[in-house]
Amino acid sequence: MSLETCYAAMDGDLESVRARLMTDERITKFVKIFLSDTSFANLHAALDEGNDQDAFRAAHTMKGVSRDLGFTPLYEVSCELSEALRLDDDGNQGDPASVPALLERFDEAYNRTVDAIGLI
Amino acid sequence: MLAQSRQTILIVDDSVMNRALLADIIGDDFDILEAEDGMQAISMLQKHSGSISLMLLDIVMPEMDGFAVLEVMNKNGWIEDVPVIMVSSESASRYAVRAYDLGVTDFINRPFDATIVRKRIVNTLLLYGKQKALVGMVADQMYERERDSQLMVSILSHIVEFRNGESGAHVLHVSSMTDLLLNALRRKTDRYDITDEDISVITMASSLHDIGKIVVPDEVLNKPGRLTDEEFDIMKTHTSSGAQMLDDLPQGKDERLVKVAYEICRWHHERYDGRGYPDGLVGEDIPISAQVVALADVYDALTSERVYKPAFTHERALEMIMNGECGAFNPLLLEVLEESADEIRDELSAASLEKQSEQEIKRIADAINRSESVVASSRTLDQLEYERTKYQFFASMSNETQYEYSENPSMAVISDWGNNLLGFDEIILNPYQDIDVLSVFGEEELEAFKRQLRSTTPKHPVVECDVEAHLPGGDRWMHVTARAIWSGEDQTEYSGSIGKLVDIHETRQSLMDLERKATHDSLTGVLNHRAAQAEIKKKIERGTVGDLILIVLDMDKFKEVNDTRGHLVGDRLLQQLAESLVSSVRERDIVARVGGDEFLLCLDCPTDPRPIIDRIRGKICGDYDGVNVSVSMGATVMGEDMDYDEAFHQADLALYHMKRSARGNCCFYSDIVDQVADDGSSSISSIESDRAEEN
Repeated sequence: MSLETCYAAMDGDLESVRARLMTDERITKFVKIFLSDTSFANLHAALDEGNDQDAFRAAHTMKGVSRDLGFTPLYEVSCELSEALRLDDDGNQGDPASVPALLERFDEAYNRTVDAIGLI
Repeated sequence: MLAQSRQTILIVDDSVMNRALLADIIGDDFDILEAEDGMQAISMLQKHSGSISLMLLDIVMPEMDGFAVLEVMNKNGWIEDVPVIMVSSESASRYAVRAYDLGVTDFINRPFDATIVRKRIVNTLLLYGKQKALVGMVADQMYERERDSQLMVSILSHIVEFRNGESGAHVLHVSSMTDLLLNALRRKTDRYDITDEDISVITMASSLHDIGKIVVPDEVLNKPGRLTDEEFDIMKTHTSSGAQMLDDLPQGKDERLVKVAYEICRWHHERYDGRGYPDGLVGEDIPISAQVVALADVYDALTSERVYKPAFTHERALEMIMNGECGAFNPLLLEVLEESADEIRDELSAASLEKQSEQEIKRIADAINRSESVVASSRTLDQLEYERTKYQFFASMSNETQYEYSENPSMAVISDWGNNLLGFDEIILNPYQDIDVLSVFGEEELEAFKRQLRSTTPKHPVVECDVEAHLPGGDRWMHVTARAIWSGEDQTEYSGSIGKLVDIHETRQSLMDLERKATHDSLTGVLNHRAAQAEIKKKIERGTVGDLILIVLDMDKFKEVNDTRGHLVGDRLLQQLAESLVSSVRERDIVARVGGDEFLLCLDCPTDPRPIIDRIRGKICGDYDGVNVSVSMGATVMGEDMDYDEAFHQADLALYHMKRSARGNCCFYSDIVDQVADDGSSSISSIESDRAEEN
């Protein structure tokens, strides 16, 4: 019951998550563990320090985790953000200009997801 | 073979969340190991290589990414033993392609689907399990097949023997002797280019040398008397008939064994001089296999009893062969026979079928082990794991730190089996530039160590040295034993080193303590007389600026202090005096306690020594805990050719003279000499004899 509320609030894709992860216990368990995932904090810390490698990695991890758990809006923006931050062979970011705007959307989506998890 | 115990899966991913999710999906049927980056993964593979059944590997990770892990696995050949499933949220196909190129078994895209993840893991494990089991089965079959052929050959040759009415040991003797002669021949010459496999095949085929006798009529074969010419011609056909039988084989005539057996059957009655049968081949036209078997056949025929002859002794048989009474042989082969005569006698008397097949199996096993193309079977892996466990156990008891260093990639793996001696990470990238390593060992020392290793040779690759490790808890001495690894075809490429460090601080400390105790006075801490003497000799050898002054001094009325204030006060006084002596002279000067209250100083001084001595005396005389101390000194200038004993004697005599006359001052030996010369009232020798009397 509460999983539905939670996913509705964040506009997530509970149906596909159920198909993939099989049980509600497992989904609930990992949705809660998500709150202690450090990728969000890592991303901001890396951007503040100007550590491009770590920034890309954090966005990339967030992309994977949010996708596994069906946090669709967070996944979509993480996806764009990680491409913007991805380093080519010379160490240049994919699209640095778009990072600030994406970051704003990313924060928003993250906060919305966290708030929604609070409903469980 | 499939492992009977639970299988272990290594999950490599930098995100805790991902690892937890994968572990949860995999469930309780497997043991899970986790690594949070590529370097940890490598170190786990190194530690648990035999027991990891499968690895789930993320691509994007700090320090060392998934592809780098795969490269190391390829380099070390681990990829053959540990199946890898790559897990990634990268959907671009080039990632998957690269992963497959590097040898991964499967590629799973995010998001995780529990069913798919489990299915793929199980499938991969089954596949690898089957492959391992197959490798094991192939090895077992090779053993078995070899045993079977051996058995078939011995049955076949036994049938022939049975029909011949021979002893039954003939075939066995011929094959033992063939084996022995071939080995001896190979040691003697490389003319025939005989391999282990050749020996093995020829020896086995030798058992078939007489199979052609099966078509020789019984009345000829077992005729007790001498054969007629006609009968002998029939008898001779056993060579070509045997060869024909092999040539007519519906299957297997291209097998090595059959081809060699053909040579042996057909030509084991040829003679080196060309007068044999059936083809009259000459010299080296006769295959070496047939030459050797012919010799073995003749020897055994001579030493065995036959219907037409008694058994000759070993010595007699050899003699007959050497004299050319029983055919003409390759002279080189005769030399070999002569040289291995004793061995042949011992071997044939002990030959048994069981022993022979054991030797054979051992040889095959050796050949398999040497062959690089054979994949390590699970048996070998188990053995390796056992060796590793054993080594770890002993290493942990010896309290040592081991390392393995590879040049490319520049990486050191540290195994601290004992306590964490150095406080290093388990894996260090670019250790020669690593801040921790540099601060512990020092840049120069590390460079020197590297140079030493690089200047070793493949023949002498070991370097040993003592180094001082600067650790947070204080400096400690370590003994390092390292071995450079030279690789490449002719071992010219330096590819890294392995080594161990043993903490020898306590041992070294106690050695240094012992050394100190041996050279220093236990009460005052200054040098003892013997050590001072050695130091002074060294000073003389090194050469000094100006004269070397030797001074002997003692405390005036020290005996009274001891008597009235007690020995403890006396001892304390000696310590204080020693301290103030040390602080009154330069560091390079020598201070020593000769014994009792007598001390010794040795100074080099380019100018007049008297003011310096006065200054020293002024400093050390005075109040010590309420005891007023004054000292008397005797001094001498050490002449160039003067030995130590003489100088000491002079200074000591000057001190005696000083104490007898005035006390509390310094007397030079030269003063006494001058004085004696001036007034003639006494002589040096009279002072000496006075002194001797007092003592």
